[in-house]
Amino acid sequence: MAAIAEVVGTEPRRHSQSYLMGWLTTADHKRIGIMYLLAATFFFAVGGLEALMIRIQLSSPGNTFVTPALYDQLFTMHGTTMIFLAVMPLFIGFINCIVPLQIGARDVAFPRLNALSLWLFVLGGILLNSSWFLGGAPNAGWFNYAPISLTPFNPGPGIDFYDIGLQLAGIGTLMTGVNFIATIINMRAPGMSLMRMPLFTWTTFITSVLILFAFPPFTVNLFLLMFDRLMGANFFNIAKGGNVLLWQHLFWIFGHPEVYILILPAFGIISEVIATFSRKTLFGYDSMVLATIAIGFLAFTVWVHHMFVDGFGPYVNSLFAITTMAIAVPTGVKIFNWIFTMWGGKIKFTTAMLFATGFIPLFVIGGISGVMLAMAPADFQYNDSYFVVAHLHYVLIGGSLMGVLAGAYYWFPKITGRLLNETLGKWHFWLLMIGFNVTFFPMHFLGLLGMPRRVATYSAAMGQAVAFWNLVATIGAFILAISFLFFFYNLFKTLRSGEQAGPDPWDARALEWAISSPAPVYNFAKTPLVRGRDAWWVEKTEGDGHLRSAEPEADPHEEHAHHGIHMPTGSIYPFLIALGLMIAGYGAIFGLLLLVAIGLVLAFFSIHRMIVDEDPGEIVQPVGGDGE
Amino acid sequence: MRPVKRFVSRLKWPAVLGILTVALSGCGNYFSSRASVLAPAGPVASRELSLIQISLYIMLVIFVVVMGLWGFALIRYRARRNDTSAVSASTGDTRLEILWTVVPLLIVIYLTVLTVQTEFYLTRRPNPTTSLQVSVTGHQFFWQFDYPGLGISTIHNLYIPVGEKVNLTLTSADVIHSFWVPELAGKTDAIPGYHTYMWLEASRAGSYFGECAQFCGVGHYNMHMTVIALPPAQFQTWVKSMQKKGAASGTAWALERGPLPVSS
Ligand code: HEM
Ligand SMILES: [Cu+2]
Ligand SMILES: [Cu+2]
Repeated sequence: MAAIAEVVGTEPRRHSQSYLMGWLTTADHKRIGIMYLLAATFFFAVGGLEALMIRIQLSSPGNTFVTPALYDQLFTMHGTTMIFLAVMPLFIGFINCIVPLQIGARDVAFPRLNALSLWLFVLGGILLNSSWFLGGAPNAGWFNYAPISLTPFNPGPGIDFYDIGLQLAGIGTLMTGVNFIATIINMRAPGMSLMRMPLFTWTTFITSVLILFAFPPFTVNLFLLMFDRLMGANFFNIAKGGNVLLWQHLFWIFGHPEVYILILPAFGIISEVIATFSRKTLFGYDSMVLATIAIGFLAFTVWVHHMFVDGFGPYVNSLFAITTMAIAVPTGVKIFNWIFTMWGGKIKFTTAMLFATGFIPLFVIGGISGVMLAMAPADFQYNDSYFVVAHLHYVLIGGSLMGVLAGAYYWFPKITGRLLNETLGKWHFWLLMIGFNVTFFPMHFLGLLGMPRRVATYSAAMGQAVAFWNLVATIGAFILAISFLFFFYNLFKTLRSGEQAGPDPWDARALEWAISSPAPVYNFAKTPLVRGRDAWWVEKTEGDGHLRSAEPEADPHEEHAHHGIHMPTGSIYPFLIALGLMIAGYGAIFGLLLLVAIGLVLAFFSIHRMIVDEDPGEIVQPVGGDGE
Repeated sequence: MRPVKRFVSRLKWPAVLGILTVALSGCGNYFSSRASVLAPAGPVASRELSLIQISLYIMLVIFVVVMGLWGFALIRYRARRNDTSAVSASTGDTRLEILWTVVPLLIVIYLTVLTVQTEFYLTRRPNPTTSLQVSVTGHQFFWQFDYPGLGISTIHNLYIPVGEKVNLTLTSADVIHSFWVPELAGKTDAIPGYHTYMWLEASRAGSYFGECAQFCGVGHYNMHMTVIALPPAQFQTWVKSMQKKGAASGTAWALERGPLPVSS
C-alpha cells in the first residue's frame, strides 16, 4: 500500500495521525475505492489459486492430488470468493473511485457509511477465509443448498463461516447500494441531468437498485440458516415441518439479480471505453439506458431458471423460460450499440480498448449459451453439468472480469496518476484470450459428454474424450494464470516507475478526466457546470477546454475567506463497528457467548458514537488551477 | 506484439495442419463418451437433443452475424496514420435500433414455442395403469429403486423393459440428489420432503450409465447407477426370478445389490 499512498498522497492528514490511522479512519471515497480494489485483488489471487488446484485435480481421471473432502471446500471457496469477495468488490472499488468524479461531486452522500461498507467487506472476507485454519472451509457450494448445509449433514463450522462471513460482507454491500442511490440522485453537479449521466454512472445506479432489492432475501436466508444451525430452529428441517426449497427460492431470488449486479457495471465500463477509443459518442444512448433498466427489472423475474429440474411442472417452467429468454433482447441491443459506436469511428487499440472489444465475442458466447440454458427441456440435460460451468465463466470472466480489466487499464492513471505499461498489457490480453478459451470452451463439450459439475474426480471409463478435454482445460488454466502474472508485474512496475499520466491521457469524454490524476481530495476545486452529455468532451470541443464553474464568482475582496472547501473528516468508528461485528461473529461460530457480548458491545458503542459525534468537517484549500 | 508475430511467422504451418488433420479425423473419439447427451437412446433424450441442436444452429447464425459486424467495424474503422477524415457524428439510428430489437424478439418467440411444446411433451406423465412404476430414492451416496407393483427393490441398478414408458417418482432420504442418465433423459432432482416425477424410455436394449448431478456431499462424484434395458420377455424373466428370490428369503421384497458402477 505504501507505493500507492505515495502516488495517491491526496488526503490531508491531521498531524496527530499516524500513516496507518490515516487509512483506517478515512472517509474519502477515493481511498476507500483503492482499499476495495486492493483487498479484492488479494481475494482474486486466493480464488485463482483455488481454481488452479481444482484444475490440477481434474487434469486426469482418478487423480488424487486432493481428497474429495478438500476438493469440496476448494470449489465452494473458489466460487464464493470470486463472486462475493473478488468481482463484486472490484466493481465497487471502481464505483467508489470514479462515480463521484463522473457526476461532479465532492464525495458520496454518506462518507462514513461508505467506510463502514468497506470494513464490513474486508473483515467479512477475512473471517470467511480464516475458516481454512479454524476447522475447515465451507463445503456445500457457493449456493449452499439446504439440507446439505444443515448440521446433521455438515457438523463442522465451515458453513457457519460462510453464513456469518457473507452476512457481514452482505450488509456492507447493501449499504453501498443505498449510498450510491443517494449519491447519484442527490449529488450530481448542476446541469448533470439523469439523461446526461455517463453510462458507468447509470449502470452503477441500476446496480445499486438491484443490490437494494436482492440482498435482503439473501440476508434473510442467511439468518434462517443461522437460526437452524446455531440455535436449533427448523426452517429447513423437513422432520419438523421445515422446507428445503425455501432456501433455493430465496437464494435465487437474490442469486439471479446478483449475476446482473456482476455484469451491469461491466456494461458501463465497456460503454465508456469503447466510446473513448472510437472517438465517438455512445451510439443509442437512450436505448442503452432503457436496456439497462429493462435488464434490471427482468432480473427479478427469472430466478426459477436455476430450478428447472426441481419438478415444478410445465406451466412454471414455461413461464420462467419465457422471462429468461426475454432478457436476451435488451442484452442484444447493448451489443449492437457497442458495435455501432465503433462503426464510423477511429478505433485506437490501447490495452483498455482490447479488453473492451474482446469482451464482445466472449460475452456473446455466454449470452448464447444462456439462451440455450433458458430452454427448460434442454436445460434438463445441461443443468448441473459442465455446460453450466462453461456458461457462467463466459459471462463472468468473458463478461464481468473483462469489464474489470478494461476498467483497470482505463482508470489506473486516474486513480494513481500513472499509466500501466501497454506492452505488458497486450501480453496480458492475448494470453488471457488464449488461456480463457482453451480452458472454458471445452467445458461445453464436457457437459454434453455427461460430466456433472462439482465432482471431485471422474473415471477413465467415462471415455477418452472426457479425459482429453479435461486435460486441455487444465493447460488453458495455466495459460490464464500466466497472463495474470503479466498483470501483477505490470501493477508493481507501474507503481514504482510508471509513466506520469497527466489529467487526460486518453483524450476522454467524462468529467473525471477534467481534473488532475490522481484527483485532489476535494475532487473539483469548484463545483462544475455540466453543459451536455460527454460533459468534458463538450468543454474540449465546444468550450475553451476548461470546466465552467457552477459557483458564483468569488468576491475578490474576500478572496481568502471563502476559498476553503468543506470536507468530511474521517472516523475510526466504522472500522470499530465492523471489528465488533466480526468478533461477535467468531463468538457465534464457536458458541462463545462472552465473545458475542464483547463484540456486540463494541459495535453498538461505536454505532452510538458515530451517530452522536458531530462531524466538524475540515476546510481544505484547493491548490493550483486544474480543478476548474 | 513483435514477439508474437515472429512466433507466428516461424510456426511450421505444414506441421500444424498435420496435427489438425489428425485431430479432426479422430473426431468421433473427441465427442463421444460413456454417457453422452449427443447419443440419445430413447424418445426423451432425442427430443431434448433436437431442441439443443435447433437452438445451437440458430445461435450459430446469430454469432456469425454479430461477429461479422464486429470484425468489420474493428478492421474498417481502426485509426490509421495520416487519416484526417472526421469521425461519424452519428449518435443513433432509430430504424436500426428497432430492427435489432424486433428480430431478436422474433427469434426468441420462435424458441419459446419450441420450448413450451417440448416442455409439455416431456412432462406429460404416462398412464400409470399401463406403464411401469418405479420409485427412486436418493441416498448419500447410492440410488434405490422400488417397484411397488412388483415387490422388488434394487440398489444401483434400474431394470426397465425396452420400448415401454417408465414412470419414475423421485424423492430423497437425506439431501438433494439429481437423477441423470444422459442417454435416456435429462435430470430431475430427488428432494427430501417432495415427490418429483419424470418418465423415460429406452428404444434399444443395453446398459446406460447414470449419475447424481446435484452436489450431495463427499461421495457425490461416485454416486453412480446403471439403467439396464432388457427386451420385454427378458424383463419378465428377471421379474420372476427376483420375486422367487424374495419368496425364498421370506420377505416380499427382493433386494438386488448390483455392483457399484466403476469408480476411479
Ligand atoms: C442472455 C443472458 C443470460 C441468460 C439467458 C442466462 C441464463 C442462465 C440459465 C438458464 C442458467 C441456469 C442454468 C442451470 O443451472 O441449469 C444460468 C446460470 C448461470 N448464469 Fe446465466 N444467463 C444469462 C446471463 C448471465 C450473466 C450476465 C451472468 C453473470 C455475469 C450469468 C451468470 C450465471 C451463473 C453464475 C450461473 C450459474 C449459477 C450456478 O448454478 O452456480 N448469466 N444462466
Ligand atoms: Cu440466472
Ligand atoms: Cu447425490
